[in-house]
Formats: sequence, C-alpha cells, structure tokens
Amino acid sequence: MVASPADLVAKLSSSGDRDARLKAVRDIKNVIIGNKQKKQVFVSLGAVPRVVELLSCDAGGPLLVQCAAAVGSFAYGLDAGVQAVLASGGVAHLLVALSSEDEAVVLAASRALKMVYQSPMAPAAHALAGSALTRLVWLLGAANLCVAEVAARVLARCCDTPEQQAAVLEAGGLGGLLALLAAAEPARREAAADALAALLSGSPAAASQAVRRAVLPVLVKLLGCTAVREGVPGALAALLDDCPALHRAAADADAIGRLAAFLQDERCSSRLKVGTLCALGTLCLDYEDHRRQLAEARVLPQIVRALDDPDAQVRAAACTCVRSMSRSVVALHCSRVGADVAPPLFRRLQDADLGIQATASATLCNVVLDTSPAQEAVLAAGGLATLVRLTSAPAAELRVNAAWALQNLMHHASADVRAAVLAALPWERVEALASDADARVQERAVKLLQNVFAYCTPRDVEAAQAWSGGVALRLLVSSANPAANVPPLRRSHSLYGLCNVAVSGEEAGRAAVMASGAVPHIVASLSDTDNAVRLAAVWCVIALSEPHGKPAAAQRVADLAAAGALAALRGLAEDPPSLDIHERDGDGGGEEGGAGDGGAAGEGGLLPGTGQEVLMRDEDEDVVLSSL
Amino acid sequence: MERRLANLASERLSERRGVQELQLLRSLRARELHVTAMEQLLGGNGEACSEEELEALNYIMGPSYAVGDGDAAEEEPGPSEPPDYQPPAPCSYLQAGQGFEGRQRVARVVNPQGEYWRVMVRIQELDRGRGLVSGSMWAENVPHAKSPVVTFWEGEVVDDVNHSFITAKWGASRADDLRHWSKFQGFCSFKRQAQRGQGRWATGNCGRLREWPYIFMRWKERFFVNVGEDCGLTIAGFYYVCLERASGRIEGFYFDPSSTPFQHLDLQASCPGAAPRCQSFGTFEYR
Repeated sequence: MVASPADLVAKLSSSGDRDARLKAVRDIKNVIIGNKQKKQVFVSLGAVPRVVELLSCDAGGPLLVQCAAAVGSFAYGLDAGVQAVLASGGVAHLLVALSSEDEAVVLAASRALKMVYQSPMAPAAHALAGSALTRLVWLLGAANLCVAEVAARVLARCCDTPEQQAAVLEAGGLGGLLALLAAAEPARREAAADALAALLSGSPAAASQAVRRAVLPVLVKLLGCTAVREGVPGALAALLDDCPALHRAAADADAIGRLAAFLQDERCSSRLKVGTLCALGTLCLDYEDHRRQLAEARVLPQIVRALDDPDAQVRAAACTCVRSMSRSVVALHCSRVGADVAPPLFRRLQDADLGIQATASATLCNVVLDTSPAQEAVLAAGGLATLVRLTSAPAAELRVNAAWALQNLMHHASADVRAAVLAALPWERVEALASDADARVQERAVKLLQNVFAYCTPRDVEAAQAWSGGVALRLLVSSANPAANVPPLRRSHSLYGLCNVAVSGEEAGRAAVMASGAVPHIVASLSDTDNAVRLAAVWCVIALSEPHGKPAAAQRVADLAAAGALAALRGLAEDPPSLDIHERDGDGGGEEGGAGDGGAAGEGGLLPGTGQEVLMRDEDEDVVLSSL
Repeated sequence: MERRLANLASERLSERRGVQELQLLRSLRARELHVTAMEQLLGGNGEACSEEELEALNYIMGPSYAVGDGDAAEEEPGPSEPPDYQPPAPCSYLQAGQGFEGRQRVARVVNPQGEYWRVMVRIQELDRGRGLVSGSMWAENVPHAKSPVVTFWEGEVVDDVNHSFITAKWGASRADDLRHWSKFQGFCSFKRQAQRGQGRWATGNCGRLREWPYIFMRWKERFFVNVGEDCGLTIAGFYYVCLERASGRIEGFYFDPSSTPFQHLDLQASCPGAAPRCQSFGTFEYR
C-alpha cells in the first residue's frame, strides 16, 4: 500500500517531523521523475510551493537535496511545473542553495537549475551580488561538470546591466569563464561562451574586444556540435552585437554557412531559429559579401517563412534578418530580397508586438527603393496606404519608419510612383510630420520633400505645389531659416529642396524660389558654420544664377548680390574649410580648366578668380576682382 | 561592357576584309610598340628608367615594390612618423543618385574612325568608409540590341585607406595599372609632383588624395540587368575611372586583355532638364 498524492502533499507540512517531511519529499520525487501525469497531479495539489518552502528553511542537507531534486523534476518537461516553480520563488532558493557548504546540496541545486534553464520560460536575469557572485565564480572551477556549467549559466543571467557586468568582473568572473572556455566538454564551453557574450555585451572597451576575439572561434566551432547547438547562435549574436570588428572574422570562419544550415533543418526549434536569425541579421548588417554568402546558402524561403512564425521572437528575429539583407543596392538589384517578402512584411505591420511592427516598417524603408524588385509588390499590396496610415501612429518609431519609407519611395521615383504618393499622402500629413514631436520625424519630412522636387520636370514641380496648396515651398523656406531653431542637417536638406525646385522647375521654379523669401536664408547660409549647410547654399546660388546670359538670370543674380551673396561667397574664398564647397563655389566649369592643371587644391588653384564666378558674370568683373 | 572581339572581327572582316586587315596590322604594330615601351619603362629589357618613371612606379606599386636602387624602401617613414592616409574629401558629384552622360569609344582596332556608344551612368550607392561605390550603366547604339543595354557595376575608390592604385585582380598586372592610370591627366600630375620631390608619396605614403582635384576609381560590371549573358557583349573587364572633382567630368578606360585596348569612356555629370552646371539632389538612406 502506498500513500495517495494528497497524503504525501499533506505530509510535507507535518510540523516538527523532519523525517516525515524528508520521506514525503523523497516519495514525491521518486513518483514524478519521468512521469508527466504524476507531475501534473502533484502540481495541481499545490505540492510545488510546499517543496520550495522546505527548500528555504534550514532543513539540513538530506532534505535540501531531496527538495532541490524534486523542484528540478517539476520544472522539467512540464510548462505548468516550470510556472509553479517560478511562481513560488523556487529559482531564488536554488540560487541560495548554490552557496551551501554541503557539496551534495550544491550539486542537487545545480541539476535543478539546469532543468529550469532548459525551459523558454526560465528567467533571463538574476539579481545576484557580492558574496553570491564570488561563490558562483568559485564554482566555475568545480570538478563536477554540471556545477561548473550551471555556475556559468547563472552568471550569464547576472549581466543584465552595466553595473551587474561590472560586479561579475569585480568578482573575477572573466578569468573563471575564460578558464572554463578551455574545458574539454562542449556543454561547459558553450555555457562559458554564453556567459562571456553576456558579460561583454555592450562593452566597447579594448580589453573586451580582445576577449571577444578569444571567445569567437570557440562559439563558431560549437556551431557544428549538435549536443549544445541550441544556445550557441544566440550567444554568437550577443557576442557580435555592437562589435563590428568581429563580423569579418566570424564570416571568415564560415559562421554564415553553419548558421544557415540550421534553418534548412525542419526540426529547427524556436530557440535555435531566434538565435540563428539574430546572428545572421547581425553578420549581414554591414557587409555585402556576408549578404552574398547568406544568399548563396539558399535559405531565403525559410527566412521569409519565419516572418509568419507563430513564435513572436522568431518573427522579430526574421524581420531583423530581412532588414539586414535588404541594406544594399546589390542585394536589392540581385533580387536576394525579392517581391515575396512584401506580403509577410505587411502582415507584420499588423503584428500584436510593437517591436515587430517597428522592425517590419524599418525593413520596408529599404525594400521600397526604386532599385528594389519588391517595390512594385509593396505598392500592389496596398503598401502606400499602410505607410500613410503609419505616419500618424502613436509610436514615434513607427512614424519615423513610415516617413523614412516614403522618403526612400520618392527617391528617383518614376512618374507613376510619384503620382501615386502624392495621391495617397495628404499634404496635411506632411505638415504634421514636419512639426512632429520627434525630431527624427521632422528630418524625414524635409528629406521627403527634398525628394518630391528632385529629378523631375517643371510639370511635376507644379503638380507638387498644387498638392501642397502652394505651401510646400513655404515649409522648405521656414526650415531653411538660420535664425530658427532648426538643426543644421535639416536646414541643409531644406536648402537642397529649394535648389531642386529651382533646377527641376526651371524658370518658373527659380522665380518661385526668389519670390518665396528664401534668398536671405540662402545668403545667410553661405556663411553658416556647418559645411553641409554652406555647400547646399552654394548649390542654391548656382541654380538661381542659371541659365547664364538670360535677362531673368541677370536679375536674379543682381538680387542675390544685393542680398549680400557676393560678400558671402568672398568669405568662403578667404576661409577655406571644405574642398567640396570650393569646388562648387568655383563651380568647376570644365571650360575653365578647373584645378586639373597640375596644381594641388591647397595651392589656391581652385579659388582666386573663380570663387565668385556665379555672380561675377553679370557684374563688373574688374570691379569685383579688384575688390578681392 | 564591350562587344565580343571575335564576333566583331568576324562580321567586319567579311565586309571590308582588305582595308581592315591593313588597319588591324597597323594597330597591332602600334600596340606592340606600346608594350615594348612599357617593358622599357618597367626595366624589363635591362635599360634604366628615368627618375620620374621610377618615382611614379614606386608610388603606385607601394613601398614593398621599390624599383631602382632601394632608396624608396629606406625612405619609408618609421614609427615616429605615422602615415597620413586619408580618403578623398566628399564631392558633390560622387554621391548616390548622381547621373552622368557621355559616350564610350569602342572598336578602336577595327574601325579607326571610332565607334561610339551613348552611355549613361547613375551612381547607386557610395560607402566612403569602405571606399566602395556602385551604379548602373546604360549603353545605347549597341549593335544588335533593340533597347539600351543596362549593366550593374560595383567599384572601388582609390582612397589610400581601403584601395590603392594597384588593382591586383581582374587580370590586371601592375604594368596594366601603370599604363592605364598614366592615361589620366590627373595621374600625370602626381608624376610631376614626384619629380619635384614634394610630399612623401614616392614611398607609397601618399596622403594627398584627400585634396587632390581628381578621384580615381575602378568600376567592375557585375551583371546585365535587362539582357542575358548571350547578348553578344562581354563584361569580363573593368574600367579605370577618373572623376574631375570640380567639373564632374569622368574619364575611363576599359581594360580586358581580350578586348580592344583603351576604350575611352567620356562622361559629364548631368541632371535631366537642368540648366548647365545645375544639379538636382535626392536623398535616401538604408534603415
């Protein structure tokens, strides 16, 4: 005859009888090991909090060992069990048990924690400090494989903030983990590498770089080890994050090919997918040949499928990966990120997770470029209306991305795309973006407007002016005002917008700019302290002073001169801060022979006599030259 | 891009065989003489190079390839004098979206009158940090092509940091590099500077590209955008390119050991519909 589960649970609370409690815990442990149904029964009866309670009291070694083993068993293979252990504070008590002087208790607590950590629900961070950390670092050197491994896994969860990282370093964690990294067993090495990646994450210090370099080959090698591969890609992603210097080395070690192979495996778990997609996204963020390697691995269909994965973390990681893959004209041109990404990306714009929406909209910024084969698919799928809707999203990140995508969509836009954008985007939205609470959104609005007037015809300029009710120019003028509190970057793009109106709109455009009140801002910007602003202003002056020899141009030149442009240009000639400005200030002019006749720029060949050509042609050249 | 020489020769020879054979022989002879001259420049026949030639050669080959009596290697700055390598300063004409128009002279060997393709180029992307540039090239008047042939190219900016004048790939030898760079006026100016002994660049430590009035590049066509590989054209070679910063003029020379040598690309910065010298400016960024 055996006691019923309810009896056993009741005996856990039998006051004063240590042996009875010990026996009850041992019996429960023996019953539930390997038996999910029994675990479920005991969980339902509330056994877990009671066992955890025993773990917390000064119950002596044998009872603690049995309690730890039972808690570990509850946490293994049953979500309800893990939830019960977490809810009752079991992890915290297991962590305390690691500091026990009794080796058997430490071993049992380690095994239990290892089981807890195998669950995706396991806590990602612990708040340990002082002597607890010191004890963990000491355990890194334990002879028992499990204890050392668990110590590393606990430390990996003690690096959530820079202060925690500093505390682990202070406790000697770096040396202990590096020593563990040299272990023979893959599991211990993987745990050490994972902890080191967490410890060094976000640390730009040179010493950190050196350690990362030591950890990287271990992790890449472990990618090929099936026994431990689950957590390795995630650790690799953490190690590579914020450390572009290592991306090359990782790719050279064939990390991309090995990671891609995981995605080709149908049995790839969610955890493995998340780590793999994050690592691939990091590796492909900046390097074209890395994107090429990933494309050649032929896993794009798997990545696109992951955009619709039931697991939110997988969807987020897939978005990050696609975004990285779409960050180059070569990738877009070669259709590596083709039209098939558009539909799932749009679905992600409706995702319940705001972070996923943000990453998806960021990816759209890249795939709507005119060099992208996906542009047409995005528009066909109603992408324009969605982007316009997102310009008024409550989350600033979404508004930034929406405005950014519209800016990129208008870059070198075809007549059809241009017309479609103007039809879908009410001018009031642009005005709202230009005065958005977030400065990044304001910047995108001005850049969008710059593109609206770039590379187009006088008719397009007219149409854009009509779209804005005639106030687009006014918006550009106000944001080009040096007296207003507008950042230099935005002012320079406003000036390029004005330049575009003058160039694309031809005579009517030039007249409109002259009449818009922009001239004082342009002239003042010629003396701005910011190089980009000065250069943009010079291009405005060039645009307004053409076409050479026409009466209207002469009048504009006279007006510019009257506003002080000549003196400002002379100032540029006397104070040479930027080669590009001088070249524009001199305005090149192939007929002048430029600076190519053997003279270096620093020898003054670019400036004297050419600096004011833009205006001098319509002035008395002798007078101007003598005044220099 | 370049028309496949074999096809071209076959077509033309059947039409005007006599005259063209003579022209071909003359051309080959001229080429032979040119190669001989280059061998002399490189000291291949044991004759001494001029001081200017040696300095120019030492510059583009770098300190590890000192030609002559070895002084160049000794002049290499020590640790107390760190190299002053800086990439070319930003240039309005070298940025994403910038267009160029002009022509490419092809088939110099077969037809001395020259055959020209109208060419348009658009810079698609520039990565100053890595010295990388890419773009598209449209060629019109291409024989047997019903519409303009579009290619996509990737390029390198000679920036003293990521890329030097030495190509070291795409079938180009150091002698090829010298031969092609020397055809640009901007590079000849370097040689004159060397003759005057200015700067330290004779040792390979240039430090002058930042303010140099020209920007040197290599453009390598990667694939055809709108036609197949069997379109009768080849993109096996690459262009040596020189942009005059102030004017926006681009010159280039196509190099492919199996194609007509020194096909000349001549482009000018352009903006459709704009008055001369005026430019429109778009802007995009990857997210």
